[in-house]
Amino acid sequence: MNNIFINVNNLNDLLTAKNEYGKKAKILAGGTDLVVRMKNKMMDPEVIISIRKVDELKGIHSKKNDLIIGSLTTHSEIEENSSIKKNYYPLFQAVYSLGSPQIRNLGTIGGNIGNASPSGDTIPPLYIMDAKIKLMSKNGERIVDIKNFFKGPGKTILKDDEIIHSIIIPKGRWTKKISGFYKVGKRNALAIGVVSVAWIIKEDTIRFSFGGVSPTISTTEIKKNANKKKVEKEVLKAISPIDDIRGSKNYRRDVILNIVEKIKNDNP
Amino acid sequence: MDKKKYVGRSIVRKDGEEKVKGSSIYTDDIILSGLLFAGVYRSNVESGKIIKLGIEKAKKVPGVKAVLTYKDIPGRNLVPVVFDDQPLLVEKRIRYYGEPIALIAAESYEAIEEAKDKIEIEVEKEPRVITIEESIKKKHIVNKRFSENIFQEYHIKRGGVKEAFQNADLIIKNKYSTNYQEHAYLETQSMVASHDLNGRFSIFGSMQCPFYVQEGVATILGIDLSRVTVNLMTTGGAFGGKEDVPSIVAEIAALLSYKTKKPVKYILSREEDISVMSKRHPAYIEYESAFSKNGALLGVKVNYYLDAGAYSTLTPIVLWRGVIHAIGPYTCDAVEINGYGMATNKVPCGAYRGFGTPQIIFAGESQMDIAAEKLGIDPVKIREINAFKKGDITATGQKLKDSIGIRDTIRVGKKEFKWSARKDKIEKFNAKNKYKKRGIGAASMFYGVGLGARGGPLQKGSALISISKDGSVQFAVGTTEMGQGMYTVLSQIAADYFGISVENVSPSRVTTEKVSDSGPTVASRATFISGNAIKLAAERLKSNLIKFMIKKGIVKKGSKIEFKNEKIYETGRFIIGFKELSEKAWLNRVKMIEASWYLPSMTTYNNKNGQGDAYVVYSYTTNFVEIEVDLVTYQTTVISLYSAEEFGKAINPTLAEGQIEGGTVQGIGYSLYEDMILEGGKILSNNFSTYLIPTIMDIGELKPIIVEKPFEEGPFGAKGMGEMPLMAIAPAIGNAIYSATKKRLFNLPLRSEDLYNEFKNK
Repeated sequence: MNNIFINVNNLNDLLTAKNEYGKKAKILAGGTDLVVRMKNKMMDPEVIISIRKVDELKGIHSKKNDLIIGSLTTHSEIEENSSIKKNYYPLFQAVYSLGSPQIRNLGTIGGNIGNASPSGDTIPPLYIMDAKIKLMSKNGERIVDIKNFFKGPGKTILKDDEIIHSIIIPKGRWTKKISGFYKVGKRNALAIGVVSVAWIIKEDTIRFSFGGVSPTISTTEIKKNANKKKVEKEVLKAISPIDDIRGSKNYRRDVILNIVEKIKNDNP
Repeated sequence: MDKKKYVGRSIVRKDGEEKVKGSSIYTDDIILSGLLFAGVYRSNVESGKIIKLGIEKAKKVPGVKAVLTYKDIPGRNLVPVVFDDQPLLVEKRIRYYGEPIALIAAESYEAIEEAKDKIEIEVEKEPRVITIEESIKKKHIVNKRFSENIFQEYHIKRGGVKEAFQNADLIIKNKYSTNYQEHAYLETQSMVASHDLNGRFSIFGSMQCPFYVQEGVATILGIDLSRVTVNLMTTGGAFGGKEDVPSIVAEIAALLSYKTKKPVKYILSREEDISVMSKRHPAYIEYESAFSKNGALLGVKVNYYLDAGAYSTLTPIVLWRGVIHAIGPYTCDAVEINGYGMATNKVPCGAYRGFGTPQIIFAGESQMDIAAEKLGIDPVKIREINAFKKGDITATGQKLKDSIGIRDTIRVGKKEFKWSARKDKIEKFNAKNKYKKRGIGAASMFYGVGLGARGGPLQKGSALISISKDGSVQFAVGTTEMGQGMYTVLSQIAADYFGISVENVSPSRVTTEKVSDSGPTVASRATFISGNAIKLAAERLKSNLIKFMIKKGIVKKGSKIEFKNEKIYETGRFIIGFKELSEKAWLNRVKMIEASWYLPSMTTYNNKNGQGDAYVVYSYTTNFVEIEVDLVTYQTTVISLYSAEEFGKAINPTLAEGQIEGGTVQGIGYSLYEDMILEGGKILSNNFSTYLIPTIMDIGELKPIIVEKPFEEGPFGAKGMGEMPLMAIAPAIGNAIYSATKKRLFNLPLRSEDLYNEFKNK
């Protein structure tokens, strides 16, 4: 109930604060999840570190081989970036369909990843684009493959003193023609995905990643010429859907299979 | 010539500007010196006995000014509605999850939360009834007063049902079920109670029925009705959800105010509001229809069960409306309708736009479509074959005399929607698309305007009108403005009766102090009842002015006097301006205030055979919808939805269209999106991230079509229309899904997963 609220102004202060308070501290970025959880008494952190003034974590930067997205970049900023819309199309689609304009204006990509929800919208696109995540602490930094970042629903490898610094996406041309993101929500706006699929075509193979059908995001690769049985086998190997309030195990499984089949048919 | 008439014109609503600017004053905006906040400690079991209740520690929390139980109630521990079975606070037996046990008044919400944590309770759990089926089987008796778990039952019988089914070419028998619907008004329930002079109480709040609230507060405090004044604040939506339950909210605030001698504000959080306030009844329906091979509806047998929750509240009336409308707007000579309001250990259900009728329409209009297909008749045609004509008889034996618009809604709607051309276009679309299938559907309905016979003594209305010396007119009525536009519509009516500018007509705040009990603002009745009451009061005032003009020799006795264009005319000749006349009348001490009393035509209902002239008149609607089903996800999206509605006369067409659009969106929500999820009797989907209502992205093209067929007894021919737009959306969409996929869904909402299962289990 009596939380300590720390407003940090730069990266160094943030790392110092995180070093000092570690596990006790929760990061407040956009607050679209944290504040809701606190209101619903699902969470009551001792310390809240607001990072909204940490400019070092903001913005989208193009480097020689990589596109770097600061963890404090909002979904709206990603949505409005023309290079992402053109060449990182699945990520554009994911942020475009995420929440509402208000949520997109506040919510950040770092928050979406840090929450580690099995239905986090930005994660499947980052998976298929082989994104890496740069983590930082007072004692140094490390870069990990996004596939190794998640341990389970709500669980990551992030250490108590670490923060998510940025997302590193290897440069690519994942245009509208050869890639996409498919989200099945219960309505067309402001809905959490029941399942989601991101996909990229690489020569004769389609790479898929799936949200909402396993404890963390799952991926698979399917040859364009694979038959229906083979496709089904590969997909079912990757996913392990469960029943919950938004959909049954079987519905999730079959919708994923339908989407994969449709994407395959649409891209002969 | 009339330069200015307001009825029939889409003038800007009276409260439009303040709403757009955000300057309307809502209950939560009220700040009074010493104001305390209210909170409620509620049960966390569906059924049980309180063994021990300790409130002493809670009382000691800093900032807490009162913690009350039923023992602190000075009057009767009761929420008065129909049968008077619901206590405000649990005495011993808990009957639903979230039932109020103790009330807290404090200086802050934090103190309230802390006090709740400090209340000590020991409860012995008892067996519980969750489903209609469990209630019918009497797994447990929810309330011993209703020994069969039935709050109310009705039986309508007409004609030879047995013979009709024997002679039928086609018999269709199905079971249907529907889920809850939450009102999702923008403003949650809110009330402020405060002491007034000389032991009076003032209530300010968000509500539909000030006179219900007045009775509730007087009952709980044990004081005279005339010591309670109830004032309407700007009300941010109601949809039936603020018919009966605001009494509970006001009783809580008033009781705490009475004990603390301070003003008390009780505003529910969204989560509390969804969890414990009333909803549309879930229903289970067995529907059997008999048809001849040419499509005539020969007979209907219906068993209609409503899941009422733990107390009877409005169920007796909700159920009655449902059984009266069970057949739809069709002639049928052999009818047997049985209706049962069943008790369960869940939150009590109540009024919701359509009042027990959307559930049964979903069943009846699905049956109509199934019959059309089996008989090879177009779905619109089969409705035309059976639709009411002048002189036809309803299920309750009422002969329809006047303003029967059902056939007009079918004809006009079908034409605007381009039913036949659309059918062809869809066939082509479906042949081309592998993953998307489109379909069209229609559904018709009728709806009794006003309370009807079961409304008994509440079928009345009052208006108080005064003319000031500057010629401006002020009126007060007993029905409420809750966002639907009543202030504007009644101002237009008043302006035309006086022939003055609507700018010079001012509705005064609705309060129990100005007019006598005019019944509730429900049943699509405000325009009809209050409009007629205004007419009567205006006529009296005009008569006062005419008598005065005759006395002064301004006009001759017996000549034709007209009030129009802000002037008075004698046999077409200009005599005097309305303003000038008002000033003259004031100087001469003419009576410039009149109250009226309006009683609608007699309605009847015989409880033995379910026969009678149930309602004064009916309004009619036919909906036409095109949908698209995604065969990848089994999700349905509305492409376009046309609603042809006949309600006599649109006083303000834009406001009427607004009602149609809003109701249609609620209907789309009821059909496709809104799915209340419970664990036992505990509501899990208690906010808008889990209880999904449609957004602007989910509604497709909406097209309201107004059909006018004036009704003689209505003000300027108007009947009533507020509820209709929602009511027949679900079957139209269900029928369209069938037309797209050849799969029929019998349960509301029409879930993607259920459609998926139909495809799986083929």
